[in-house]
Amino acid sequence: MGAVYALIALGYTMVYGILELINFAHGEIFMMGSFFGLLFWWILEMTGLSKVIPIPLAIFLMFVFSMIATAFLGALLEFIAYRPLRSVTNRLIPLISALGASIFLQNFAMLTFGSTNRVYPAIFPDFGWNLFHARISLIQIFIFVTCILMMIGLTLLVHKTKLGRSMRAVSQDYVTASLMGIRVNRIITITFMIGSSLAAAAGVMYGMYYGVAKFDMGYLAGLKAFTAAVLGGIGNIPGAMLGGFCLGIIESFGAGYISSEYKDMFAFLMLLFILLLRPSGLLGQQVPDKV
Amino acid sequence: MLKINNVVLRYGGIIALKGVSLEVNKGEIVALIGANGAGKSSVLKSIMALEKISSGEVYLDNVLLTGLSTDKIVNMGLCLVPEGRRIFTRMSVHENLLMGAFLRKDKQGIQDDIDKVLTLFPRLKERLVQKAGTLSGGEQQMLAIARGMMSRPKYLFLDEPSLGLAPVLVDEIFKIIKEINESGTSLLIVEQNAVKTLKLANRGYVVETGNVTLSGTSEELLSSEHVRAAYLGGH
Ligand SMILES: Nc1ncnc2c1ncn2[C@@H]1O[C@H](COP(=O)(O)OP(=O)(O)OP(=O)(O)O)[C@@H](O)[C@H]1O
Ligand SMILES: [Mg+2]
Repeated sequence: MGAVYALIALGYTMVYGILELINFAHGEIFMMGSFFGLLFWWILEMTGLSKVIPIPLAIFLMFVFSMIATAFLGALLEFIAYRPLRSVTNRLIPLISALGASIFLQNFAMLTFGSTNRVYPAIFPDFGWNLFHARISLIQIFIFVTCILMMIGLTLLVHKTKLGRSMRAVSQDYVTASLMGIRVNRIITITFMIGSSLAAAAGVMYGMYYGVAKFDMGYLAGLKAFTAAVLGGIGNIPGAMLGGFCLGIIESFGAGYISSEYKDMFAFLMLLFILLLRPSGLLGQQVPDKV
Repeated sequence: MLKINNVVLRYGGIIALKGVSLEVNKGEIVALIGANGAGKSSVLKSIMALEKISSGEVYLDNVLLTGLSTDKIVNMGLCLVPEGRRIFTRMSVHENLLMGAFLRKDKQGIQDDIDKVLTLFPRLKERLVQKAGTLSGGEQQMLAIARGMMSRPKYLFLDEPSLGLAPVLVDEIFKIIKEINESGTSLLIVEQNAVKTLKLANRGYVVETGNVTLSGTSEELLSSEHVRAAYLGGH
């Protein structure tokens, strides 16, 4: 699950890197991503296509549908909840707007998809291998590989393309970026879209792994991913990846050696410790590239 | 021709520009001098739409620029090298130059221009892959100017290009400014270094607390009693 946290954490960190805003609705974006994936599966079932098209293709399409739909949701969120507040100097106000958006999305999901667990299709073949004393299943490997590929993709995008260069420019100094001819608002929208689609992919994987999607799933996952982002140094892309993996490892060790009942608590204890001991995160300001 | 007509700019309650008018003709170097806080930078920000002006207009060759966004204004051939360098410190020197050429699509032309600015600023050539934040102050200033040239602007605005530079470097920068102008770019320069700038410029404007109080050719300003007393410090 560390890889999934890392994927969500990237969204927090990218938005923070550009706007210095903690997008508290990002957990809900993740949740909506999970539901969009599920929605697509329902469409496949209703049209009978789910029995026709091969499973890998169905899974792939679920990702694509969810990521695209969620990207637009993220852009919409930015447009409605944050853009009008861009010129407000009080930093608390966009934060309140973020909380409002988060509550709105949760209630929207509850009213649309119901307040109980919605079952995710168990379309992933249940293979597994025993390695030492642990069992590694196919879906775990799939999640891990997918996350890694997406992170590599993001890193290449940010460092090797013109779009990535303009994202970095906006995050470093948006006024000067506009003087280069960059349309800053457009870059901000694109950043929200990329962050949201990564969260959507995480949402689909989360659903497939645990077999359910629920309207309030974004709260805990969002907080954990936020912890991961803070752990790596918020605003810092490699930091968010590292933070996610660390959190996943700490959580599973904590669950294994202490108690799985307290599993969720470790993340928050950790958040507390980092904020007390090393507020700039593991990689802090030393790593140069934030977006 | 760039024409600024009766521009008023407010920052909250403060009126920074109280109706400023000035012109830059094609091929000219124009100096904008004045004390700290007079409103020089505000003039440049108003032209680039970094600040929203309350009234007045900016025209480029009789096309109204007022109301356009900054990126569109850059696209029309205007470029500001802002006060305090503002280079992208976490990017390499090379990437900074590429950012300057952001709106251009001609790959070959961009590469040619990079070669050109690097011959103009050999210090940057040796530090092409270095992170811009690790350059010395003078080198950062050179990078800021070089980045500004990368968009091939018709009009280039320099806000205090010699700030914080050693005298030798100031001379070097002024020589380069002259070369930029000779290659066909019109310039509007804000400087504290009034004598040097006026000697380089064709014309000049004096700004005092948000008003243009004096304007004329460089010779006229250099010999004006008022300017001598206020800005030339008896040189
Ligand atoms: N963002 C801002 N908010 C409020 N007031 C501002 C802002 N920017 C500038 N001012 C005020 O507007 C006036 C003009 O500022 P401006 O930066 O144009 O001066 P300047 O002539 O460039 O000065 P300097 O030589 O010190 O750079 C000053 O009184 C300044 O305090
Ligand atoms: Mg100034």
